[in-house]
Parts: sequence; C-alpha cells; structure tokens
Amino acid sequence: MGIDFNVLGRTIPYYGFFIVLGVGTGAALGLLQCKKHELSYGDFITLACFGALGGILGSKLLYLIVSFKDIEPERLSDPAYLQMLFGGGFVFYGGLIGGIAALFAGAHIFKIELWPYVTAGIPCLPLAHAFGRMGCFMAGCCYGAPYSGPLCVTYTASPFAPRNIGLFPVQAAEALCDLVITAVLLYCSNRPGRLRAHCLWLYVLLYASVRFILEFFRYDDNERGVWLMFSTSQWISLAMLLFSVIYYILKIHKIPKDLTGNS
Amino acid sequence: MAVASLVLGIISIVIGLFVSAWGWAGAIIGIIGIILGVQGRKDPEKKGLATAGLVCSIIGTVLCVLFFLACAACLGTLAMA
Repeated sequence: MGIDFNVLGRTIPYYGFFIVLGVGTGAALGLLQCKKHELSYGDFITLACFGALGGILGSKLLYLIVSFKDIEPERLSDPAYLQMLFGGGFVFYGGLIGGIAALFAGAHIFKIELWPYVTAGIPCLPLAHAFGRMGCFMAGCCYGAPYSGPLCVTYTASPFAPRNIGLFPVQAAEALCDLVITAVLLYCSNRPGRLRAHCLWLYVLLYASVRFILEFFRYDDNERGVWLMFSTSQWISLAMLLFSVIYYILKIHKIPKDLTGNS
Repeated sequence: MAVASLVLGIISIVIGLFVSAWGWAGAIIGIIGIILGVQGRKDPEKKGLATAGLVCSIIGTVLCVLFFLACAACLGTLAMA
C-alpha cells in the first residue's frame, strides 16, 4: 500500500483525496443540518471557512512548536527549506483550537449569531475528521504500535510506517470513534431543549477522551512531542477535558434555551 | 468582494494546477475567496460575479488540497529526517 494512486495519469495522494471527500461529506451534512435548523447555508459556509483558516494556521503553529528542536535556524533564509517547513506537518489539536478561535472571529466580523450554527454544524467536524484519519490509514502515517492480533495492518511500501510488521490500526479505530461521535452529536443537536446547547462541549469531551486513550496505541512518538509519560496530544486532551468541564459548570446555563437566537 | 473572490479563485486554481508544492498557500487563498464569494452573493447586483468567484474558489481549494497534501506528508517526513 503506497501513499497515492493514479487517475488518468495524474497522481492523487490518498490523504488529499480523503480530506476532500471528508470536507465534501461534511458540507453535505451541513446543508442538511441548516435546512433542518432553518439557518442560512451561506453563513454556515462563511463560518466553516473561518474555522478552516484558523484550523490550518493553528495546526501549523502547533506543529512548529512541537518540532521546534528540529528547526534549523541557519537554513531559514533558504526558500526551499522554508517551503518544506511550512508545507509539511500539521497537528490536529492546534487546528481544533485555532478553528474554534477563528469561528468566534468570523461570527464577530460578519455579525452572525454563532451558537445556532455551532449546534447544527458540530457533527460535521468529526465526520470530516473520520475521512482524514482514513487518509492517514491508507498512507501509513500516524501509525499504531506493533500488534499481531485480528485486524492488524502491515505496510509494505509506506514511507512513514515501519514496513513488513503487523501494526494496530489506530487510525481506523479513531475514524470509527469519530463516526460514533458524529452519530451522538447528530442525535443531540436535533433534539429540542437544552441538550442541543451542550453539543460543542460534548464534542470536546468525547474527542479528548477518545484521543487520550488511543494515543497509548500509537507508535510514532519519535515524530511527535513526548513530555514526562504522556504525548503532547495527551496533555492537550487533559487540558481540554478540564476546560470543557470548567466551562460547563461556569457558563453553560447562560446559553439561551431557544438556540434560534430569538430569545 | 465579488471581484476579489474571482481573482483569488483564479489564483488558487493556477496554484493548484501548476505549483502544487505551494498548495498550502493556494488553499488559504481559495478559502478566503470562498468567504468573499458567499458574502458577495448577498449583493443582488453582483451576484453573478460573486457566484463565479465562489465556484472558482471552491475548485481552486479542492485542487490545492487534493494534490498538495501528499507533498505535505512527504516533506514533513523529510524535514524530520
């Protein structure tokens, strides 16, 4: 299994293909959710684009922070090295934090009521992420620990994963968990009452828990930051769990029960 | 907004097709083009132009993401090597 495939003589990378597929599926789900919640799809796309912009910048920034020790300052004036540095490597958690911050900025700039769109659109995020993880699975990056049980995966041509040994399919496991989180969030966001208001914090809670556990099954620690006994993503998971619980206790009762913004 | 969206959309298509290694920049330009296109469509007089900008920006963003991300993964590995 390599990292790309050919269509009409053009090389298509699995990761890019699955990301496009995920964003397309997420946008389609967003359209359905907007119709169900009677929201403007244009404003939904605007907020989603702000989230994507913040996501790209945030994930790049966290990648640079995590891999700070590998950066060679003397080569920063070399355009090829700069392109390599800024073109490669993204960390999902940086994207999540940057995306949420950009959502607030976008809503402020275009004067859009944020909460109804967050409630309707939050199931789209784990759905798109599930496709992204399948891209990782196909390309062999973000690989799991050596494992020889049922459903183990063996890469023979991946430039990222160890070749010709059985590995735990941690990327596929995370994709499956993301699909379950999507289903839970869809159920919650389409129920009347206060449960809808909890969707964002429910997502943070569920994803941080899943990610914290699945990090123990990953085997690419050398390519990512590890501090004390946990990886960078596990520390961020713990911080986000703590943040979501504190936010829930302090702020959640202030969110209007009527999320259409008419209250 | 409509004209800016169209310009950004065309730039992102060119980057996506011919300069895939700079796809990360093309994706950012395309996404900004989508935002401007969506907002531009709210002006009835420039709805057609804004729609063209929106379509070009979406196509450009898809091309940049589709062809670039393998480069991202490969370059990330090379950078660590």
